[in-house]
Amino acid sequence: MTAAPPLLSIEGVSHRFAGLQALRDVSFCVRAGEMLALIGPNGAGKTTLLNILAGSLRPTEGTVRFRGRAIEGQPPHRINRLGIARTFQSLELFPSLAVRENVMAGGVARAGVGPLASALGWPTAPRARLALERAAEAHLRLVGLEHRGDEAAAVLPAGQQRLLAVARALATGGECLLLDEPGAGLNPAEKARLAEVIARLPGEGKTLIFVEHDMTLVGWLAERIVVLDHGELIAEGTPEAVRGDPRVVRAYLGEPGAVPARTSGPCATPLAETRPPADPLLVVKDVDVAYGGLRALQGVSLEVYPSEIVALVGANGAGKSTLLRAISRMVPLEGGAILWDGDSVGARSAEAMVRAGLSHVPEGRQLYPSLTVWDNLALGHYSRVFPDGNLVRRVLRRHRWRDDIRARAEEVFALFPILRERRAQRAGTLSGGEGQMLAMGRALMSAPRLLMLDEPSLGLAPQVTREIMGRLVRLREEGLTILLVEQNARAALEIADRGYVLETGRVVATGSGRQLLRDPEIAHAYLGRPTDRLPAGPFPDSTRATGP
Amino acid sequence: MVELLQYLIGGLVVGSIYGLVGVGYTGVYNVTRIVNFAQGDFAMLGAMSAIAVYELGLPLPVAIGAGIVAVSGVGAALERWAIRPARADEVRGIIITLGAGVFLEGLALTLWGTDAKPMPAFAGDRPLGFLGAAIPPQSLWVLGTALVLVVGLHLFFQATYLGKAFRACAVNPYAAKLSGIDVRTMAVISFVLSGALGAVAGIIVAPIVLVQYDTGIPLGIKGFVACIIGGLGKPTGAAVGGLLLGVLEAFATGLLSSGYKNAIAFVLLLVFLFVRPGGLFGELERVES
Amino acid sequence: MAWSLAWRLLLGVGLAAIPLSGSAYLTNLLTVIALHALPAIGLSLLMGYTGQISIGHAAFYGLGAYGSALLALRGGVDPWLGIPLAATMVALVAWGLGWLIFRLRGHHLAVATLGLGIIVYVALVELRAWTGGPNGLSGIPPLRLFGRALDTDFRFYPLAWGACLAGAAMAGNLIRAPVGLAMRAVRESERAAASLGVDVAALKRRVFVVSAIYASVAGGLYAHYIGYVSPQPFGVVFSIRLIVMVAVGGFANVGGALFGAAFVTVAGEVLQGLGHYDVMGFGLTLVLVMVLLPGGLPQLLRRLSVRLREARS
Repeated sequence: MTAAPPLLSIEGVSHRFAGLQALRDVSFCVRAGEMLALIGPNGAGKTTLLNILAGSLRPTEGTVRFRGRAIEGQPPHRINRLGIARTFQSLELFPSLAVRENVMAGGVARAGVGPLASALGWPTAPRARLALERAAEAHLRLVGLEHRGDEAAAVLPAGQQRLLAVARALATGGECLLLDEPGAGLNPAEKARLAEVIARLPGEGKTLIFVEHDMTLVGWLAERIVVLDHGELIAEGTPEAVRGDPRVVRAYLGEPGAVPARTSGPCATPLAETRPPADPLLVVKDVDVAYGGLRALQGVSLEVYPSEIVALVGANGAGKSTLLRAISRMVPLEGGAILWDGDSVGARSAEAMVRAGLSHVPEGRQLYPSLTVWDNLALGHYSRVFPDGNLVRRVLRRHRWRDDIRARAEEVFALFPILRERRAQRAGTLSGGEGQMLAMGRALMSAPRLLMLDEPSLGLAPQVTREIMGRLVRLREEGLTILLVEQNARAALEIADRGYVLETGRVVATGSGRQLLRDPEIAHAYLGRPTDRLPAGPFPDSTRATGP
Repeated sequence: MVELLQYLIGGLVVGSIYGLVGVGYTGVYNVTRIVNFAQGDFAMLGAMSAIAVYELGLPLPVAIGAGIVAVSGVGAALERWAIRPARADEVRGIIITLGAGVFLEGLALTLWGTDAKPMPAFAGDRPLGFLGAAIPPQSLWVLGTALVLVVGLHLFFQATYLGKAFRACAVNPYAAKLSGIDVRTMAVISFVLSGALGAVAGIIVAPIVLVQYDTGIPLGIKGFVACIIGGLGKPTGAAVGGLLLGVLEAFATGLLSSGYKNAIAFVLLLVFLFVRPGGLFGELERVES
Repeated sequence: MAWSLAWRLLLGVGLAAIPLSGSAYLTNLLTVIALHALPAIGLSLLMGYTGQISIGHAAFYGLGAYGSALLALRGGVDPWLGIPLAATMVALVAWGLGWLIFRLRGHHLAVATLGLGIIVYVALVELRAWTGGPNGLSGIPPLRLFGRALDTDFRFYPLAWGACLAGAAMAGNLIRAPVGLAMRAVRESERAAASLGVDVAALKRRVFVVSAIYASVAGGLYAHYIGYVSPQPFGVVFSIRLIVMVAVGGFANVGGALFGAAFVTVAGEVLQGLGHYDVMGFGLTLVLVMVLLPGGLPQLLRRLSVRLREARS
């Protein structure tokens, strides 16, 4: 081990915003030429940390040193001039600029020609531009995009856009690269291509820190891994060490034995043991979704039968939320079909799906903070008040809907008594657990047939998660069908009749809840496989301009 | 002393108009996130079309109704054909509403020329006495109507189901959509509402202030200043901001000179934009998805 | 926008033909177009290429006009010196304003620029001691070249177009230089531009100053051409007209801005003659262009030429 000082050192960094402690006393170092992966479950604080390193945020406490100099709190452009370059999870390309111009833009800050000289047509400006073009060509060649230099950046497919972002960051000349989910939305070939490019960078004197959920990519590239969970650094070391670390496994998969055993009742026997007699309520058939240019889902199929709990688990970025959004028609399908009650959903609007009996509790609760608890609940009944979106009819049927709301609310209060106490409080003042209950209550107000929940346990203490999972079991016993997306795989699978495991947009395992709990595939889906190594090239060159 | 009272009352009257125009901005902004730069021209068009109908010989209440309906229709048309296509791009939306405002101004110019249109006061011209100050009865109409409308809107948003659905769209459109609330219909309604409010503002002030084709721009700008002062997105904020602006303007005109009247609004605007862009009550908090 | 040789020759020939035709009306019209194209080009740099919005640019035009006029009338400064001097003062004002206003975005920025424009207008009207109030200043001396006063349409025309074309050329140089790329990057994504080392706030201020200089020089030329200035032409209406010019030209298009200036000026003349239709026309044009043709007239011409080519083959 060299005794040289680290290139980048993070010392005691904490960050707090909006009452949330996003990072808590995080410290670690990065040596020059290293490839470090920053991983952790959803909400761990990885992006916050990356933003602090890149200068978009000033940490509430702690120091970041680059080559020994404290840089925390400096604005992003100055941090870049010091030698740190970053890419964004959302790409942030310059869509109407050509591919080559995107990369050239990486070098403009260092071009050194002022506006006056440029305007007057001094030869320094065209010379500088030519130099930028040549440098851009070299960087495009490095990532294999040199044939598409003249095309608009917006027309590139997702994988090539990611490569373009990397080329642009390289063009700034920064020696330390921060990559934010570089592999998001890429297919295996594109991912391998990206990994090949990135693997070459330390050879060019670059240091890399990347945030990733895709454990295959991490397995291929990372020399060292830092694991964050709930804002704290819980593990640091080689990929093998981290994969085997029980704390890491627990952080990703959840606590074992978190939920009390199922009570007796009509549905006490898991349905999946015997083939369910009824027709499925929801069928997702071979669905493809592209979301903001990224390929989020590929060929995903699942079924949900009446009165069962289906769990959908997988690492962050696997596409779970996207699947729910596709079902509730908030994002369009690129391929495949969704069937509700046997009929194709087709071009139905989101509002129509709600009226048909679907209710979606979104990730992060999404309440109306300035409205009261009661108002939040009442608005959940909207689709029944205006059954065809028709306002006039509502006016004519004066009293019935008010009583309906009151009746439904009583049922919700029976399920979540705390909400009755807090009915006149503004929703924004509720605690995390109470807010989650309100979000569920609001979704139940429309008397749905299928309730979809997106990560209800996010940000909640284990005790509260247990309570909520228990309520879901109760709801199922009353006949409700539930599709539950969770990153906390154990908690979800313990109450589920059946489950599906998603990994980077594909279903990689399915079975009864009990089967999946024992399946090692789940751990792999979250933490990667131990024998992962960068496949040897050359790869089918997906970057040749033979079409998108 | 009587003079000061006169200024105060005059300021409150004009301020109510600014407040009403400001409230018109609020509805649209909350649901669509767009600032409707044609708002002032809604007021102008409402007044001028009502006057035109009245001059055809129809009774005043009918003319007023016609003006309100006409501008509400214009609002709906604007949303449907000009705003909806430009949804995401804020700058584009601004320029479109700017263009729409200019178009309405040109329409008024073409239809009715450059003359200022007089409108008869609703309840006669004899000024009433109040603590020594002379108040034209129309002023009471303005104050009264503005009060009724603002209170009515407040009650609508706070106490009715539909009003709460509106607020939901403003506060968290993603969740609203998931609850089955049709955000697009809400957008159309908000434009119709803003058209109606604008028309009413223009009509009730027309007997006091001579309205002509280019009255829309300064009125619209001052209404927006009222919003900024009060906090964009909150109707009560716009109302308070309008009153404040009106009163300050009246005192400035009375104590300084009338030319600087317009400058007051903009100095106030810039002060707020640079120091406290959220306004006195803060902008409406929105949940970003 | 790189103009092919053919287009440039056509433009040159066309411009030369106008005064040679002997028509004072046409020469005056084209001079006005040049004096409007100059601020439009500056505004296209700010709005089209850098993506900022300004609904108050007429203020810089007016300040340039009044500034240069006052220097000539009160200070006896030669207009050849007065115009750049006024432009320098306006540039300083714009620099200072830039620190304040670019903290704002979107509609806040739009209204701030609108407000600033109106404040300048009110000041021009109210500060009678300096500006002559609503009647303005008259008797402004013309520019003199080789002892002859450039006080007729025919004599001023070459200067106006010389300035306009020089401005267009410089704007073109700016766009093609690295800083032009930085401007466009800022328009597309400020976050990304900052992450690449671009000082976004400083860039916005600089482009704002440049666009203010364009407007102010044009204003100065205007003052010494017409011989008198009043506040009337420097209000919100002109600011909006400039926006229409830039929009019709396709926003990020220097040559387009010239197109736009010509279109708006000529169309304005025609519509006004028909009876007050010009205001309505501008509003409608602006809405239609923004909704249907964000690329402006150049986009329309491109589409037409593509369709012609398809029809022929």
